[in-house]
Amino acid sequence: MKYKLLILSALPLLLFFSCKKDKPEDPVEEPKEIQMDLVPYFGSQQLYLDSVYTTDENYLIQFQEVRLYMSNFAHEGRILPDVALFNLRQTQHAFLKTQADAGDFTSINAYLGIDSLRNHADPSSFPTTSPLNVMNANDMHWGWNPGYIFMYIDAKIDTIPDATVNLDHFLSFHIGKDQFKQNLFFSNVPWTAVSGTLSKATLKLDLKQFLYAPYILDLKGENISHTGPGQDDLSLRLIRNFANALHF
Amino acid sequence: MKYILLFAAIIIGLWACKKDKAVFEPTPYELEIPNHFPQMIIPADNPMTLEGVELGRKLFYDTRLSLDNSISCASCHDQQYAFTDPKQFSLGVGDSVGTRNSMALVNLGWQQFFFWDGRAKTLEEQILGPVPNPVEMHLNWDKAVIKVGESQFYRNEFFRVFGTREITKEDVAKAIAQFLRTLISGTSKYDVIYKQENGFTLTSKEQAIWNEVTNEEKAGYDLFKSLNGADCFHCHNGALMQVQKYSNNGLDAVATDLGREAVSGSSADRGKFKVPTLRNIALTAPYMHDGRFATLDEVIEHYSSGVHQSPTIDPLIEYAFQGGVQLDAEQKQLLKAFLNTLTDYEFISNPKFSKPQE
Ligand code: HEC
Ligand code: HEC
Repeated sequence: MKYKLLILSALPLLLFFSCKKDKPEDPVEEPKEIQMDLVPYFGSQQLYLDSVYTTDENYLIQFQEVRLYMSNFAHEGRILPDVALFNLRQTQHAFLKTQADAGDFTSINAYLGIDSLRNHADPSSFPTTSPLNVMNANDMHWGWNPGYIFMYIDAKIDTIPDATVNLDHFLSFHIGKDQFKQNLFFSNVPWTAVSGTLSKATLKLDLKQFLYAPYILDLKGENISHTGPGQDDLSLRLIRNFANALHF
Repeated sequence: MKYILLFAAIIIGLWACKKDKAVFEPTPYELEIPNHFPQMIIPADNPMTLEGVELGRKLFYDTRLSLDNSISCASCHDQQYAFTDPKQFSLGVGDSVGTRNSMALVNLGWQQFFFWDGRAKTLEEQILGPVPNPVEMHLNWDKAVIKVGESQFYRNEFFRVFGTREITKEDVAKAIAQFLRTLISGTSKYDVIYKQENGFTLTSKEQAIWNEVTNEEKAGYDLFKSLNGADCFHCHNGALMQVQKYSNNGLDAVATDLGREAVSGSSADRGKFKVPTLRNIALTAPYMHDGRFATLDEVIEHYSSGVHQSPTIDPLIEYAFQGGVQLDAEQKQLLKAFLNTLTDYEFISNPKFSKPQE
């Protein structure tokens, strides 16, 4: 009889549990998030792919691809595990969105490029949501040894300043490899709170500045680098200029 | 008494959770993904099941899906040629011909778009194409579905897979897509080269294959990857031997087939086509979207000296200004030796992919 009672009282419990998928959770504080967008400019105007801009030399330039990788976002000993991939054609201005407290990242150190450990890891082994997974990296990955492409710019230019538009000259700057990874530092990141939990800041990439500072690029003669042998000097100038063109 | 109550409790417990009394119980299918490949993303609305894959395989080989019962998918996608067709333009129903060369069906679960011009975004969507296409199977879907439904066998199979008695074209496409996702090729000599190069521990079988890799094949691979060599790796690269993009590789100065432009409407896409995988390339002649090259030698000659410049040529065809990468006779042989390592003999003889028994 005792048993019967026990079993009977267990019955509703059993019913209850057998259907339950997960337990109700105590209300927890929602985690804080930061979102960093990246917007390209050509001087003071916002830059759009396939539009034509004029350089100081009166060359016409039309950007076709603008992409980059950043990793190891850090401040005072805190390092975010995230890698950010910017791909203007595919994902517009989206760059980084992750769990972090903006208050912990008032300034940011980061790499333009990928830390050497992950740069030479198996590109198939990253989670499918990671920008480093080869399906997301796609042609931003050369191979395990060279690794990922850190900055990727394709453009067409017209170097003859006359009345006709003839964009028959290619620019193709694909820079990667550990030695060309750049350290970036941004002080006083201008976070703005867009909700109780989300803070946003917008990084800018000035592609006009990229052509001139600190090195003046000769677009006529120095129009290709795929970080190949014999291109170290140009590759370094390109990625330094690119790093220099990034600011809040 | 005790036991009766317990028994009742269990029954009630089970019953309380049961939503409907469907008897179809598909078995999850475990894909065998090579260890150097990325994970395959399976659409949430078409999970892989043993029953689904088997049904898809039946449909893939079934001529019922064509107007006059003469053509199946396999007519133009033949396993011995890595699921492509040795004809330049495949023959559809009534010997009709299209304008594009059939494509190899390999590692489709990792493709981000389908057809030479990428007009289908998913495999399921892609499969809806060939059945009504007048130069392929030429059967409208309503009729196709009725024909399939006339078979008791298929009625039962569709129920076992999808739990519904009503056969739809979407479910036909889903089943075939499940089968196509199993067509994974990752056991060629190239795969062993790739693994060895990147520090994978080789199995004893792989080690034996590695021992057979010739110096010519190794030198050919170096050329393939070298910026100053054949410069192929920008577009044909990695474990899948392709990147996901549209590109104009310099076949014509003036495009005869607009390619991607016909889908996107943008003249910047003129003459751009999907970069195909080079897996099993020795088996998939003829080559390019229109099958213009009969042999790999002709393809190599194209990249070496036959490149035509045009406003939409891919800047990664870096030596277009001089007609190509200018390989000498020996280099061409080395490159070809490497391309031959991409043949996956296990793939083309895998009995799981072949025509099922009646
Ligand atoms: C008459 C020949 C023919 C038949 C029959 C045929 N195909 Fe194809 N298939 C082609 C051709 C040609 C292409 C390329 C067409 C294009 O790009 O316009 C192609 C492309 C494809 C692709 C795209 C592959 C990629 O990598 O993008 C898939 C998948 C495919 N076919 C599956 C099927 C299935 C499934 C069937 C049966 C339902 C089928 N085909 C029937 C000739 C055929
Ligand atoms: C800039 C990108 C790019 C580069 C670099 C490139 N290819 Fe291609 N390849 C393509 C595209 C795009 C196609 C399909 C073109 C078409 O059909 O119109 C193709 C097609 C092929 C085909 C035919 C495949 C088939 O299924 O029909 C072979 C073989 C091939 N390439 C080999 C090579 C070799 C070898 C090299 C180096 C010498 C090379 N490719 C360099 C983009 C490229």
